[in-house]
Amino acid sequence: MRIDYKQLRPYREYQEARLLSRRLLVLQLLIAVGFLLFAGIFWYLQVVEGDEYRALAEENRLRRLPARPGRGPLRDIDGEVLATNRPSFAVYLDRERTSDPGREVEQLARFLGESPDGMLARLEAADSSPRFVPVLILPDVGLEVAARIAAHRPELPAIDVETDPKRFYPLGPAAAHALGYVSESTARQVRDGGLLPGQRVGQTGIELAFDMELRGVPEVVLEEVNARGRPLRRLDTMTPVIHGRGLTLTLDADIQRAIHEAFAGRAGAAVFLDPATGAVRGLYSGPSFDPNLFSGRLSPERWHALVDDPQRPLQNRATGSAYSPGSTFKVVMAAAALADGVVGSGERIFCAGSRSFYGQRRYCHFRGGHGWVAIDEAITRSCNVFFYEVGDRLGIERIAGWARRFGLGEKSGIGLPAESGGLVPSDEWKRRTRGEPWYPGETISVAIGQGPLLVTPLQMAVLAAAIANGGRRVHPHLLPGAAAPAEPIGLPAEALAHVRQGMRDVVESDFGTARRARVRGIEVAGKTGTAQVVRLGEKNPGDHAWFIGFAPVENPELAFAIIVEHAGHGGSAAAPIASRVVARWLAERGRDEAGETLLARNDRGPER
Amino acid sequence: MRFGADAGDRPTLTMLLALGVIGVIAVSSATHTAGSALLSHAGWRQLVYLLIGIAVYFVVERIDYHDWADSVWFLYGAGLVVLVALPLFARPINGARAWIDLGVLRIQPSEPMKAVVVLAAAAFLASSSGRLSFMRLVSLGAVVGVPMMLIALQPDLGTVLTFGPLFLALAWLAGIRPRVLVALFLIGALLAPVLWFGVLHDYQKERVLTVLDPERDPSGTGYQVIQSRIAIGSGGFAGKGLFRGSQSRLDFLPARQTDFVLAVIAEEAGFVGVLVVFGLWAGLLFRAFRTATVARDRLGTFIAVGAASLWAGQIFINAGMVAGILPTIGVPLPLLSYGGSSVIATFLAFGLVASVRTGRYVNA
Repeated sequence: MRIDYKQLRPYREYQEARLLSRRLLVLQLLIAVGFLLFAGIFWYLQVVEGDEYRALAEENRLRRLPARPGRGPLRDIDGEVLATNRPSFAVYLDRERTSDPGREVEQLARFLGESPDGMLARLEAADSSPRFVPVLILPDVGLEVAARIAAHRPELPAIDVETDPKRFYPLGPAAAHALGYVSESTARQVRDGGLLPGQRVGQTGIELAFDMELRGVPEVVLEEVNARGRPLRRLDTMTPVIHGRGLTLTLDADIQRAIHEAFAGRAGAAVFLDPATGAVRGLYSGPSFDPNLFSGRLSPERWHALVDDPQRPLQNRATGSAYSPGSTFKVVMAAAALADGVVGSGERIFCAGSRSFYGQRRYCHFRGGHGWVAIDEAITRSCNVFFYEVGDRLGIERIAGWARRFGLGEKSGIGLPAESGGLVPSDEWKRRTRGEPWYPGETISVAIGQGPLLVTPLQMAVLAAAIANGGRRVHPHLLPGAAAPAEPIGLPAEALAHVRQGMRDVVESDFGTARRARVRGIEVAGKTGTAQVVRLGEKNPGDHAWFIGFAPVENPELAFAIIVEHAGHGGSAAAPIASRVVARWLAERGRDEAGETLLARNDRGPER
Repeated sequence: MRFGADAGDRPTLTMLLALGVIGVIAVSSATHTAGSALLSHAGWRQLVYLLIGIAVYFVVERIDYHDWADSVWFLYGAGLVVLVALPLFARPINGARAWIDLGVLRIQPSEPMKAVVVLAAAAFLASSSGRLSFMRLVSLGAVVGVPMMLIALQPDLGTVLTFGPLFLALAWLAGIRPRVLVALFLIGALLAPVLWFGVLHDYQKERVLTVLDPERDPSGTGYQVIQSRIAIGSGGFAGKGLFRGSQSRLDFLPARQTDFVLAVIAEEAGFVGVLVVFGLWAGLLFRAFRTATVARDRLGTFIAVGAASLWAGQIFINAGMVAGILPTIGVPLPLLSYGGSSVIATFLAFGLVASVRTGRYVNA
């Protein structure tokens, strides 16, 4: 059937035209509604929600490009650098600037005289990342390598060298626990803490305590990127970089070194304070570790070696470990007895080598007995029987009261992480923890520093400082002038004089228990202690050796507390450490002050 | 051939040209790279397609549409042969065998086929009047449906869907009974599950679900929709300015010079630009309806309405897709999306409509 279209009948019938025009109108209405509907949708998207989408577009377009701030350096009281940022370089390969990245890596390896295998492996591992992201092929190289690459610049068009400073501790293990260490920020810190990837964060010690000051504020630059994240241009700097504040500490690098050498790898701790202010001159825990290990990437093996070491080198014993004070506690006992008047300054007590208290025989460490002893001599000879009697007369509450006034039983507030508060027992404490009253017999143990009493080396240094500075309790601190001034604890001058005399004789008299703490040229005062170590079901690994004191006796400049674990008697193990450190400090001090002090001392010293 | 004294359908040509020029600029902006000339490579090509389209328009307009109708079944048959051959011989591009690759240019036969199907359907319906019989409805369905099925085989689902409005509009105009229309919709609704479980590929289902919730896969299927909405919304009322759309210029928006060119216009020229585009297209379509009303005969009416409805379908599906209220199926925005076949097919179709208009006074 073929139609001749030219013969089509034009519209003539009114009926047909009317039907068509009605139906045409419906179609036009539909199209009009369609356009109005879409105009409404675009109005809603563009005008009503426009601002929201504009923000989303900006978020798409802009990337915040942060630049790491330099971490503040740490210096000791004389300006010697304790922690700084070692220049280190990282070598990157930009795959977009070369047609054959592998060949360029091999070329680089040839210039450096190294095997290209490691670099090629890193290049291969980066296959999945976008090409415009440079590949880190050599992390942490020195200036020499960086210079050699710079010399071959034209032959290595795709190689970039960027600085990536690493934290460096010149003293190494000598100040590890005081300074702490840093490591790279974790993914969590980057997400929640506003840190940058790769930024160093304090993990412990001063690095952690003052992390906020040391960190600084990153620079944030706005950068325009395309959909694949490729940077197109820098727009503007939102916040300029603020490098971390450098801190000058109260620590003395010479003292740190001297302690480290004197400990020679043994376990224990030592704290040296300026007795007048409480400024920490030295803070050491042994065995130590090299904090520089944490600056680079620490291998899991080395990390586990540190964590699993039975000697626990990462533990800061100076502030975080609490020990029995042993006989060093007799300093508190003597001061309390004289201050409260339970023993007269000239009063003598007879030591027969042992004595019975509350049905139990208590022994002196000198079984032959010290005979009639006064309080200074009791300190010098560390007579147990004398202090048993003193303890019995004082009672636990007065002992606890004086111990707390000296700063025992509570955190010193030095600000280092994981500080221990120790323990000063009392009737209230025993009822609270054990549910039974305090028995007077227990007081006899506490009187010679045994029993539940626990102290940290830092607390004992504060105690020594109080004796040294005329009876004021100092607040130990690491930033000069950062602590409240020392406050008097209410010791009468006469009581203090007797304690000091006794402590002087510990070192300087021929009967003293710490004659090995003597230093040529000055007088040293101290008190030894032996903290009994009792471990159930185990062979006694040996008692801890304590030595606390100050030097010089007149106008003391250093107060200290030293403990050497499982080393036996304080006089033989701990006292020589004090001697070495004080001597070293004295020598450095003399050199620093143009020989003036040293010469003055030499004038009156006996050994010239 | 007829060379009438009148200058042809000037408003139609003006609006076609305006849209074509906007298209050249939009395509240029979407493919613009820093430091290049005003017109990008794609922009220049689009300009050439526009010029070819104008030439086609003038030729078609000046030929009596009855002459076109005389040879329509030949054109239709040739078109079907090409569509049958495509899935067998064409090299797949983006997974579809929809193009004839001639090296310098690719031709998408389904585009000119749109104009041919409009003409064929109009010719088929021209000879009768009154109510549309069931047999004629089925036959109309075959005239439109056979090319649809062949295009579905490529597969090019977007183009297939644009034939739907053509069929419905012409069936309506030819006098389909309302209850038959309702029945058709019911059948369609019943067939939807078959389509969903039997025909649609997983990626196509994913696109449908994405419309309901773009956030279900923001980096995958939802990415296109989210980025498109951000481009549109961030344009605001007045736009960011030509060549200043960060969404399009910084590669956030895929397919921005082709199917999503409306998002580029919305970002750079704002709501104002969108209104201009919609206004011009609405003007063209209503002009075609006016032509349908004043046409000399049913053939002219059905050609004009067929072209208007098929192109309206493309515009609405494209706008819905760009705005994220319809699934992302590849439908270009005629005259604005980059691509010669679509531009030339549009001038072809509206040349036919213009021919209907200029031929309305001619008595055979």
